[in-house]
Amino acid sequence: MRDDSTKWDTPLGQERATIAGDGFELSLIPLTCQTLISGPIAACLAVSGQKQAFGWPDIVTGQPYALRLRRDRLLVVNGGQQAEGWDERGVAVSDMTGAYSVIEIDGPQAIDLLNSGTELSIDLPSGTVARQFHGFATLIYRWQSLTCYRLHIQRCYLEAIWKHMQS
Amino acid sequence: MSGFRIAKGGLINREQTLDFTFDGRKYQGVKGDTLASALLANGVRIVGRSFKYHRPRGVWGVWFDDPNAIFDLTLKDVSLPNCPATTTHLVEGMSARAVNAYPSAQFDIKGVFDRFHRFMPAGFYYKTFKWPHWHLFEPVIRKMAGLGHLGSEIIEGYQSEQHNIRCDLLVIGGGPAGLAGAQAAAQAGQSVILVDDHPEFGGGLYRRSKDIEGVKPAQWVARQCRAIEAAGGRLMPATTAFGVYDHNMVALAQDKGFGLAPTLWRVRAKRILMATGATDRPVTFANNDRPGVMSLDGALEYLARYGVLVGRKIAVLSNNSFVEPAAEILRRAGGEVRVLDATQGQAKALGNKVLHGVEMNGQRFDCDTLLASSGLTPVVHLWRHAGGKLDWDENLAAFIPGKAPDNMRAAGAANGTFDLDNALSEARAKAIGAPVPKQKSTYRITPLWPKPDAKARQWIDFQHDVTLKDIELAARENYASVEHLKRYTTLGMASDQGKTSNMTGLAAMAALQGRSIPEVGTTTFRPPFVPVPIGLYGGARRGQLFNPLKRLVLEDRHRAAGAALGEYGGWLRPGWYGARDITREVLRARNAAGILDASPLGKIEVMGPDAASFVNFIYYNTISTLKTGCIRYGFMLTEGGIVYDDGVIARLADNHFVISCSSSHVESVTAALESWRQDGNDPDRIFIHDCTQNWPTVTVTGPKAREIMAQLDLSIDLADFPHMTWRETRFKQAAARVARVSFTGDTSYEISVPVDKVHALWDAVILAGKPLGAGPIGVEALSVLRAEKGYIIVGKDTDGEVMPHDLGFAIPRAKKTAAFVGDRGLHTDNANREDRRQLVGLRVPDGAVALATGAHLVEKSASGLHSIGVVTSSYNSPSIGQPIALALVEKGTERMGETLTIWHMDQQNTATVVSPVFLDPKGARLNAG
Repeated sequence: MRDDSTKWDTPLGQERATIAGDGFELSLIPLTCQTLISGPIAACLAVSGQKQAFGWPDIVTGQPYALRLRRDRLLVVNGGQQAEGWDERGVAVSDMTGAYSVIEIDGPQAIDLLNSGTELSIDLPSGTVARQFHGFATLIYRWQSLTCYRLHIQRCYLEAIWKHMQS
Repeated sequence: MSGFRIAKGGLINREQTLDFTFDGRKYQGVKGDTLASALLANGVRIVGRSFKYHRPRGVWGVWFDDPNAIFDLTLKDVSLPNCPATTTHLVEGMSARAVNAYPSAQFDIKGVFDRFHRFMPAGFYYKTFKWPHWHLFEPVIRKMAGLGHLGSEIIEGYQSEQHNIRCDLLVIGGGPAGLAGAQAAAQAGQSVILVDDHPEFGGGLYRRSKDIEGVKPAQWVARQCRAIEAAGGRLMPATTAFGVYDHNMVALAQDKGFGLAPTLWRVRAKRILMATGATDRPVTFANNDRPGVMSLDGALEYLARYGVLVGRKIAVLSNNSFVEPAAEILRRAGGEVRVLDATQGQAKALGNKVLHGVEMNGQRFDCDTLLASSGLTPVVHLWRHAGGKLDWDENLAAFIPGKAPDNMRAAGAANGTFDLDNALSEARAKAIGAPVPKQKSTYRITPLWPKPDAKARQWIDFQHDVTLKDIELAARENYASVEHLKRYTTLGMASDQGKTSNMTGLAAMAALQGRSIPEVGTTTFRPPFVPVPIGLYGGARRGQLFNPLKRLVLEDRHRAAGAALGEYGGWLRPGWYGARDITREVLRARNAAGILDASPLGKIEVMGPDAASFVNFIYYNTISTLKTGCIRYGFMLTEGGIVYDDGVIARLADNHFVISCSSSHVESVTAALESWRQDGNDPDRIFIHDCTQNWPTVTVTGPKAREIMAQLDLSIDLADFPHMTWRETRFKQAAARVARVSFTGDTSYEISVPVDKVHALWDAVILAGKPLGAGPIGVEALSVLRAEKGYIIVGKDTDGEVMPHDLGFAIPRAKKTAAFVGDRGLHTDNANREDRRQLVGLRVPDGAVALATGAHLVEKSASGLHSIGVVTSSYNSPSIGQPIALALVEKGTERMGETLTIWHMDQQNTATVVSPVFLDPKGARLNAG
């Protein structure tokens, strides 16, 4: 094996500066808690205490909130710690706070940046926020406004996706 | 010198002159020229050489249909090979050199090859260069093959942007039909995108001498464009639709100028209107490849777009009704034009590098340019990409779009509608889904196809030198299918991909076989429609983004500690720390403790009322009897019984398991679990969460691991923490999971904590370990440690044939009664073979060096040496004090103590078969403490 340390940039870590792009700003968002809940969707909502799970192109507002990943899976954001494992109400619960990094893209050109790596259209609704972005499994949704978006990405690919967004 | 620039006309800017060179000679063009038009305007006739015979070649077409003018281009620091001169716009200072010619296209020393053409028919090299061996000839042939040359400099910043967009209607082709269709759809309220590969819209309209809908062509085009944009449509000039893919996804390459990477647009269109026009077919006659013989349509286009009249004394050889209006246009521009009916006899071009005339029916006609047209061929490539069918139209003597792909329509010349008024009404109707009015065509054609048994050489594929005789040869040798014909003769494999040659080639084959053209059929149309740079597909995926590795949360700590980082199973992990001294790290782990970042290890949670039976079904080993708080080693198998992954399974609760699979298999194991979950199970009673990245892991392994653990404030009773058990506890007020499980053969603890605690954990472990002689170890040391204990790495010590009983795990195969994945595969004849390769250890004689990984274990047989196995892992073992190796060997367990021959790179050594467990076979170190 060869030493490839210099081939790869040193990770910027969690304390990285906001990037101002052409018509958008890119920043890393700290979240206090992310919880994955799988099961019949009504049971997932009941366990999470949420009334609805957001899909695309819903605009997510307020805290905490639930994102729908698939027909039997939610990610609850900032909902507080929950007991992990099998819940007798028929759902599986796992903490995922550290598993996902969250990037926020805000600005009128944010949608163009996203469309460089995925197909997003307001006219094409989806029950899920799960998307491939530049080939990476991500969650993409609108956050609080028409022009602000959040991406939940696997933490191990933060450097790669951040670099993609700057390339 | 025959072509020249006329005094006025064209879409060029005559005020802005541009200097350039071609094959070392200086020329001047104007803004708006292509390289081809500029050379024609300067009277240059020979622009290249053919691939095989190096015959002189002139420009044939005007845009994507030209196979002859291919240049290596240089502009300042930018060099690009194989640029089509007809589609590359001239830039000040550009230097062009014809490919496949030396020293120039005009005087090419390899032109002598043509004298030996009789010895080089189609497929000659298949027959000639096979004795004594193809590889003897291969280097020279490969050197002679190919066209342009790559520059030595990398083009800085050459990176394609990529975008995804959507629309209601994508109109491909900005000619009259495309413009009319786009305007109609946009004004009907549809979101419309109109693309055209030229920088200007209008397509073939400019070559018309008449007005269109009461105005000049340029005015009409401008009016349509304004109307489209006013209605919200989007115009994309200089953009080529080069492929249609599934679900109406069309790939567009948008030209950004010479030396700049084009932009890739992926358009998801609800509907597609293909208005890609039609191209002229060559006439097949004697010496039809001579410079000066070119497309009639092309000549008109050079005149209309670039103000270039391609010759002064022009003969036109044609078979269709469009020839007279065309001839009249050329006459008005100043050409002396004579029209010849190509159906009335066999023509022969006269001259070599310079065209002197054409001979027909014993009569000679002097000319400097011969324009040929044997009919129009609709450009249907994208239609076929999308899965559309083609119909043969006898009246047009052409394939036209037949049964349509979903949501795609064709209009205008691309649909065989060659009359302008008809094309406009058809496009407008199809763009808005209205019925298409019935229309009469004025186009008339007398079919004109190659006639076999001609005495003179007649070219079918100009670039690749495929002649009519080559087609005849292929037919004689029974390469009768068009696909075979293509591969045998290289017909249609030139850079124009058969745009000029395919129709005549398959017509020739039809004539030879006495079949109709539609019976012979076409070859397959595949993207890209025109050559595009590979970088277009890659976009930003280059450098660190080409194959991005997963990054560890603790990478900053590893870098600070001087780690050498490398790829291990898709992760960037420490290979070792400081100066490369794997022995030091191995001995550190054996004598004190090694501290390892094991975060990539899989942590896949399986939960639900049926989780236990599910995991039991997934694993070869019995898991259902595993007690809460305990861990078991197990294999996942393919359905054929092959080892797919190994790992440990921990039971956290009755209905909660954690599968710790191999680091590089996490995604595939998760996918396999999901797949089985949905097959034969109630999916509401089993759920799978991949939590690997939520739980970074630090492993402490070695005889002093327990002492280190005792200092970590983990609130665990280490005295009551046996091997293969699990504890849930707290670390720094956060949840922590500790597994006593080993991949080294020593006492080991894997501590997993939340991401925001792992730096604190790593620091605490390093701090606690330092006084004890412990320290960080990398993956290289881990590989040695596990091999000393005989622990395998799946994919390294196993291959696509290894079953668990080959590795010494035979009991479940014999005794597990519950169904499990791979069970049936373990009872086949193949699984029961007595000569299966089995895992063994190898020791080398004293003083010998370590064996090469991948070396073969061989035995002598009547036919020589044959392999009976392979070395899968080999190391210098610091703990054992000599080299060790793991291997898969036929009947390995029966060979204990046998000395075998090892063959590697023509060298032979010996090794003795031993148990794969070199260290602590009774497990005293493992279970210590």
